Amino acid sequence: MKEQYNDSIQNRFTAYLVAAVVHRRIRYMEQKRKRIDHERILMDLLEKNYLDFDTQFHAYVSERENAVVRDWVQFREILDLLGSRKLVRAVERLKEREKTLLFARVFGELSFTELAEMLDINPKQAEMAYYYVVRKLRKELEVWMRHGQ
Amino acid sequence: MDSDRTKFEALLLHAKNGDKNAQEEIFRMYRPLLIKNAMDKNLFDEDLYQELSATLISCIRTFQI
Repeated sequence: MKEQYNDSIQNRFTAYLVAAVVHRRIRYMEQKRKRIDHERILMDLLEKNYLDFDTQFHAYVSERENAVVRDWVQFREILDLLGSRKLVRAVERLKEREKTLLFARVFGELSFTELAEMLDINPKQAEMAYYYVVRKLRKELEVWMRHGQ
Repeated sequence: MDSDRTKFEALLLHAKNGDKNAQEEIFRMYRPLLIKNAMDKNLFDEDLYQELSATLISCIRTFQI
């Protein structure tokens, strides 16, 4: 009896130790992985220097490109509608200034700033005026659609 | 055979009581285990080894004979 008891002491101790060690190792590895992840994020942030002209410039150019694409989508909508005489007639009915705004923006692809310079108003006014024309045209076309050809 | 078994119990008791030699002996016995568990992808992690050594000391202290 006593022999068995003694026999198991070292085995028990070893099992006890192994469990504790494996447990500790797992926790340690998790902490280590988190630490490495945080360090990587930090290094990334350090590399992104917001005073870097190159980065800022490229971001600016990309943004402008996106803006042009958005306008192209509207342009295509108009092109599609041009197939119908309704739109042509609606455009003909616009005032001179409204026509100018529309064509300069759509065909001339002028920015609102350039548009503003041309009309001697400020860019925000140019933007608002342009979209007013667009809305006006849309409304007219809706009316036409409701009343048929 | 018998003396080996009682030897460990005695060793452990001495270590629990603060006997440095006994503690070192137990360390020698279990060092391979600690080293093996301190390996991280074939690299030895010194910090982890230190932690596991502390774990061993703690186990010696808390183990109920």
